[in-house]
Amino acid sequence: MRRAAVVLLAWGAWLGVLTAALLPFTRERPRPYAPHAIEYWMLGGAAGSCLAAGLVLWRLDARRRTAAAAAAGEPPRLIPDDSIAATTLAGGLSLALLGAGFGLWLVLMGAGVTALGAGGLIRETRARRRDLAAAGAIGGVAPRTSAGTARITPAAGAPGTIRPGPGPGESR
Amino acid sequence: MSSEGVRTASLPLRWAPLRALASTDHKRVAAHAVAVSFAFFLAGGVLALIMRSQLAADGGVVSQNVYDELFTMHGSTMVYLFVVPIGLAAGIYFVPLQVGAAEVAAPRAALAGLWLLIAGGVAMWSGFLTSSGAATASWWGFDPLSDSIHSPGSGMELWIFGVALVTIGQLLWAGCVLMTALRRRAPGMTLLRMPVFTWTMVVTCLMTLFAFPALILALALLWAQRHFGGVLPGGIGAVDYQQLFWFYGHPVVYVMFFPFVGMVAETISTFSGRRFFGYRAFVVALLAFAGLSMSVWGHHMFTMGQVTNKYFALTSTALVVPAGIEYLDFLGTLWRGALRFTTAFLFAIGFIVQFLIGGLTGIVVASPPLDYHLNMTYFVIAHFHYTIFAGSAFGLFAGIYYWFPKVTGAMLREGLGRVHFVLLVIGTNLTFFPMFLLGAEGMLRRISAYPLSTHWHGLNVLSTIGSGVIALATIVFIVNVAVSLRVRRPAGNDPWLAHTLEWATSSPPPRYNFRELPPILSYAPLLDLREQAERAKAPA
Repeated sequence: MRRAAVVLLAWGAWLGVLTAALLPFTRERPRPYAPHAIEYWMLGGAAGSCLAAGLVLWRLDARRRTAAAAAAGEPPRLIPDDSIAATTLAGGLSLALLGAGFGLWLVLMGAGVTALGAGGLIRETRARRRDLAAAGAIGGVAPRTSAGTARITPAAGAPGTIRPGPGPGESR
Repeated sequence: MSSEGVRTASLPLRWAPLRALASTDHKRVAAHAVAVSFAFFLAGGVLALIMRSQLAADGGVVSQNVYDELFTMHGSTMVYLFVVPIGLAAGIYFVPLQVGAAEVAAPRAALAGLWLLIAGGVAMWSGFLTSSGAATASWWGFDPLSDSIHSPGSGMELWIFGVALVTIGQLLWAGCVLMTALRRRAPGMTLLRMPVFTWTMVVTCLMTLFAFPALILALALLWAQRHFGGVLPGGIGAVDYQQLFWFYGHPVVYVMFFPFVGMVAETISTFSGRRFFGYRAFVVALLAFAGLSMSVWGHHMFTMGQVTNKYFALTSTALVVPAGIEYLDFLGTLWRGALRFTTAFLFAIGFIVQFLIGGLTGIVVASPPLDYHLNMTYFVIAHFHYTIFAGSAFGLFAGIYYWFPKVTGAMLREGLGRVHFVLLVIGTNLTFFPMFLLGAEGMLRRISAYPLSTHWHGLNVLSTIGSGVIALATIVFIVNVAVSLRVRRPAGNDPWLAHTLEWATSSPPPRYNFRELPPILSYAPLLDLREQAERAKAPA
């Protein structure tokens, strides 16, 4: 079942209905009391983007189920325990944005810190891939608990929990 | 070390102090966010007390310009830095626990959201340190009041960037919580087995994700208008800014409301000893409610004569249908329940009763002819504070008293909690009810003094006394938290005999939340287990 996407699709459709409900008021007079283009754009835009997000999620879930069926289970997922890079990135973005009001010097400083944070995120991503590969080398996913969680050992150098996700026949 | 003995350090040991600031554990991120939000709540409350002193003294405490800064920063702090972030932070903490997940989706984004909240809050408040003072264009930041002619200086700039940063952070949090609920559920946790609080967070996140970008666009246009001009030209530019702002500004009211509806629902369900009444109807009503709330923004602009008044009056009035279903479900859950009058339950009842006043007066201002009379008066202030303070804040305290044992492993003192509740009920009604009368008599909002001939002084003094009682209640709450953490009374895993998954793990929960999960056969798996055990005990 792809119910996760259904939430977004249903809510997007409901927003679409509410956008369409503006139409009967187009003959409203005097003219300023009739719907304005911006009203259609904003509500319709929210409806459209919600529907689009729902379709993307639907597609992702379909692909995940196909991959899960092929691999008899989802690939393991590592959870980070901390991320200096994410903190640095947020700090850099804040400085860069504030710089728009206070001068190029702050924008440049912010851009530098942001680049540092982005580099850190790339480094963390590569480390995560390495850890997952190492987990595969020592036997991969540990036995599932009833919580659907499993761990790889500290010896693999990879902290955190692996969530194998739902098994075959289990719905999300 | 994690709670399960697995080495979890990804930072070198010498960086250990940084780990607390860079932790991606959703519980730690949320706890930090709650602490930061509550600090801003106290700061915003101090501003409110100064404003109330000014109005009780009928001027003379601060100048009109400083008063403008006070109401702008009070509103901005409470909306952008307290109620919205604390609601989303509750989602960051409890949604993974309620759906049986080991972690929130995209934990790095959640961490970044925390730092954007801190950076944005500091930016907004640092306006007080500038020579031009903090922003003075209200929490709406309306153009042309907020343009470079009427609001010169860096205080307004800091406000624009602060609000933008905080809003970006809130978008990240909403994405994390929504994806956790939709894609990280434990096996067996279908959509219609998600707890009520999780559903309220789902709709909160939907509104956040699809309404908040309008605010970022409005702020970008405002910044461009201040620096280059011509972006929001003349009267039509001001109307367009308001359209964009209120497209954010009305859903945000529900973002400041739904998480606390979820807290109240969990609280009354637990302390009534019953399953939540009308669960499916409640879920449908929530989704309909959230959708409708996206289509009512124009009722803030009725008096401008530039929006489709009939459409917005219709959608605004239609909100009573899903709201009525929710109230019916609350009452149905309480009906014939085995009620336990804990502090959390009292706050939940306080929410139900007082929010009704806020909701019913909302119907009044949803009607264009009545809104023409009441727009920009203290009636609107009273209505808003009855929904957000008398409503949402009571829901928040219900949630705090309910979940504090889970988060800290210690029980809050019930005696102090009851004192807190009584003081807050008295203070809230004493502060905000006189504002209905002042508004109906025509007292405009945002004025720092009023003519003596209006006889508004008595009601204003009453309101100011009430705000002092609210401050006293807040002190009692802080004392309660401090005492309860210092002299701990252990809570155990499930002190309330609650229904949902977060109570199936230790208090506080371990790093990855669960060692094992019970079978999930409904949205109340722990109640299922208890009922199963009772059936097994009962004679055949």
